[in-house]
Amino acid sequence: MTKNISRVQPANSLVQHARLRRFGVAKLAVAFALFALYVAWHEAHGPGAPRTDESLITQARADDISQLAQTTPTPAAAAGASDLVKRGEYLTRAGDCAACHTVDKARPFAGGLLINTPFGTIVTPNITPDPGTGIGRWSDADFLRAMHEGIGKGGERLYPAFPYAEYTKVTDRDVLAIRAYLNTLTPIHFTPPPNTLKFPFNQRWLMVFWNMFNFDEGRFVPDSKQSAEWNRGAYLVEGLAHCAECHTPRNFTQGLKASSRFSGALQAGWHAYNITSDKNSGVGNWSDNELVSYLSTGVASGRANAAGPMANVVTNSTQYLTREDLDSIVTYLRAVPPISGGETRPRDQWGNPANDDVTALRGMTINAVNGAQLFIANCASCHSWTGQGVGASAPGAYPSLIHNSTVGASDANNLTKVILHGVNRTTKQADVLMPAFGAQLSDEQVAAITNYVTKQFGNPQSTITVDQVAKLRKWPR
Amino acid sequence: MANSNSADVVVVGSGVAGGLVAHQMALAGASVILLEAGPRIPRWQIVENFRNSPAKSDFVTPYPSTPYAPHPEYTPANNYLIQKGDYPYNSQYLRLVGGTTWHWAAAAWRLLPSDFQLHKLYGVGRDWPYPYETLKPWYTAAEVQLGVSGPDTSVDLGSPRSKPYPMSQLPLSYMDQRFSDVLNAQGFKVVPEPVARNSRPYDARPTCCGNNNCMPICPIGAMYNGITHAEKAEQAGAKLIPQAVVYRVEADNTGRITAVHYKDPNGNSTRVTGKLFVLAANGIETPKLMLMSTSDKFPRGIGNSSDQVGRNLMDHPGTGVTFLANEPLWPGRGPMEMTSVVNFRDGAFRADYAAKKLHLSNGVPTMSVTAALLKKGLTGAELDRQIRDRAARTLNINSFHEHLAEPQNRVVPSADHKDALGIPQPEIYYSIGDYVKKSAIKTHELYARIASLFGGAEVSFDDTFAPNNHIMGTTIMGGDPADSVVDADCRTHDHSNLFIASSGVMPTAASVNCTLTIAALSLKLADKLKHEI
Repeated sequence: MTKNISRVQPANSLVQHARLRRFGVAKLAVAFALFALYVAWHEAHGPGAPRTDESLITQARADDISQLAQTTPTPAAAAGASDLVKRGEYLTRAGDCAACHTVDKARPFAGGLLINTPFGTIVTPNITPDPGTGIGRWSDADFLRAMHEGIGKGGERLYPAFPYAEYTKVTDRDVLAIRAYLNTLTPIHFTPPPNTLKFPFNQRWLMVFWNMFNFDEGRFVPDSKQSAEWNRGAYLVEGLAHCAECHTPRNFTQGLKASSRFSGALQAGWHAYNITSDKNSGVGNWSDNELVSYLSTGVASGRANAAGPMANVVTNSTQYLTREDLDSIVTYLRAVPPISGGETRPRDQWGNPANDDVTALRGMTINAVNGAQLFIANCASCHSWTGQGVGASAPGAYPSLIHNSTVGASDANNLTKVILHGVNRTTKQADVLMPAFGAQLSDEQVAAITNYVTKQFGNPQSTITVDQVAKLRKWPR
Repeated sequence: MANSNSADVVVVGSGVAGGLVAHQMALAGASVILLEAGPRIPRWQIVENFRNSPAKSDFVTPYPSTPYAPHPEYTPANNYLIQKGDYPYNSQYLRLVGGTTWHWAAAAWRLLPSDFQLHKLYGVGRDWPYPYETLKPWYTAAEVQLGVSGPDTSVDLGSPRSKPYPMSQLPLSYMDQRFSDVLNAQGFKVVPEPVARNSRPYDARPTCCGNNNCMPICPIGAMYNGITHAEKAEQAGAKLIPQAVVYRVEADNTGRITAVHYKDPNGNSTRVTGKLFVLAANGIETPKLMLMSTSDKFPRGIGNSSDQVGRNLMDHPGTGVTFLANEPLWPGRGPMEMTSVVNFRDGAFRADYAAKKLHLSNGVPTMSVTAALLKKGLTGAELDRQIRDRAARTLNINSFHEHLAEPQNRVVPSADHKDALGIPQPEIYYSIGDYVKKSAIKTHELYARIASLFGGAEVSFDDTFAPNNHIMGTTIMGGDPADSVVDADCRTHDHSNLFIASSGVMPTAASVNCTLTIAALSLKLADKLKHEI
């Protein structure tokens, strides 16, 4: 831990809490912090923009666009862009700005992501250079203040859905490069719908209290005792990439819990796993190459496959990072102190191939909630009846369920989410899609498959109930 | 939003045709009721039915026929289709939500421009009331909706295109590549087949992973099935009612269709009213329904002033050949069908005999090879050795011959055979004429030549015409109300608010699978309906 990192922690949160109590607003602050958690979660993963069928057919008949479902054309990677702009584009990806600001791929960076919270709905803004509806009238100083202090052009407090708690560490030079890149985007005249937050959460000034707990303004300060690579990694992980937002549990004020940094957290149903160097609970038994491969392709063969929000992070962000930056991130993560979650072996070291279920099932009456039968019918055609997958380590292979970090996890949340919502991950290596089964299967059936899979191929102590499936089904993807 | 008994658009049949129309109309904001005679069965249950079935080569067995909405079964035969002609029309089709494309090989061919002008160019058969160019944009739209992968633009399939296929083709199997190389060097034209099968994730469905049982069921939905659009229609707001067997179309004295009547599995009847009606219940059930719907005003049935409803029944009569190549080719890797021989799809010969398409089966032959060896008494290690050897070398080629529209080939409601709800079964009069037979003799010669190119041993010809389940012609399209059922918009000549979405409207059968044409016609029809709602 560097001095710098500790600065973002509420170092003496109990004292701060006492002070708040004296002001008589503790309850409000805690409610706010809870709210911030919600918001921060949503910030971490934008939903994929659904294609509309109408657009499919219109496109087909328009005789102009030959491919549908293309990935978004990179707006400003056009030949001739200045080095500054190219660097800005790279950094914009490192910060995964598109996750929240690109909802419709036909409208890149025009905002409009609806973030539903129990307190109302927040909508992400348009950050294209459109003067009327975007940030075309913002000065560089305005932009710097937003990124570093969480304050908008009109002096209004921004909601921490926008991770300025991390972005504050980013150098002026890098922030201005991002700004330069955003300036080259096609201005899109689009006003996202307004926030619909209930009182008192519509009072932006209250963010002052959230900041007291959770925000420490200031640029990244390199640690001269550490290598250049470590410092680069720290700069990215703690800054633009804002990994801690998902992978660190929250303390009672809903700030990031300093003592448990990167030890994993459960948010909106997904488990953002422990990424400390612990050999059983974290990624301590992964090789450097496996970590780099995971971030650049979404796959660490034989260990893990990115799904859910992390698949989006790989798709939109980490796959574009240079080898040097990925190596730096790995160097930094390696140095994160191990924190055990109590696991007795690594998530990817569970499970054995099935060897008798197929013949046992033949001729059996088709039962709506028989886990083994549902597995064979719904899953085995791609993952093989043995659970060993198809395609080994080829890009786009159907992964093995044995020695699989999702199936071997100590909770079955992510496995359940994957069955309900599928997997979407597009990288330079492969376009990966597992269909969503949520519409085809009842909660009982999803629970039966999940419990069969964890028992047969993963961590047998990891189970899920029908009620839990019902809850996970309701969370956003 | 439609209530149970009334909607802007009432669609009968939830297969690819009805699903597409219902989906488009729901997207356009119309209230839509989609009536399906059969039940709703989830994919996973069909997969398990297939695996449990001892009759793996009968593609209907995973889809059990119901008493209230029976469909033809052959293992064992349920004799649903009453055969009265000199040739049995042993067609397969399915009655369940999603329709018959639950089991198909996904071939997604466009017709050739000449297929639209068979009579004009060759003096036989009929012509379409419009040229290929009219349907061309709808083919493109259909390819996008179904998700078709096909060869790049360097391969000319004979049907002009305005843009590439939505997806590039899947890699050919070793066998298909070798077959193409050998035949193309000898003047044949073997091309990769365009298929409604994903070569990459598309429309939230995954990439084909080569389970090689497209028929009877793609276990992962990489291949398009009509269920896709039945479900899309529902998501867009259409009300889908399964187990609703339509048995009567009701018209008022001005000829406007006022309602359809359906029975539930218990025989209880419901009347559904609407503004526009679309019959999309396939080329046998649709004309049967129209002919059953007699009244004082329409004594010959609905839409039948021309007496053409149910007539002109066509298929693609097929012959085949199986032989052992003198090299291992390993059929069975990838989907069940990947290449076709296309240089007999058109030519001056069509004045004389039928066009045809030949296609190489990429189905796994292990089961039939093993059955034959067991019959010969082989056991143990020798049995294993021969299974491996023969399964790797067995080639099977089949064909589609173009059938002409001939009025004596027809379907009518049976007067004395009824299903459990008392609804008449289809009665079929079918024959195969010299036009096809002459062509099949030449096909036999082609088979022999192809077999010799592979040093073929044990060449076994199957010259018996097999059904290919492409039910066409029975509600035929044409410009003249005196000799056709629907006009160029697929609107019945007799009823301004009754339309037909089906291969039944096709005036020519051509020599390729008709599903993409059904889809294109359905999208064209839906576009028309959008302007009438």
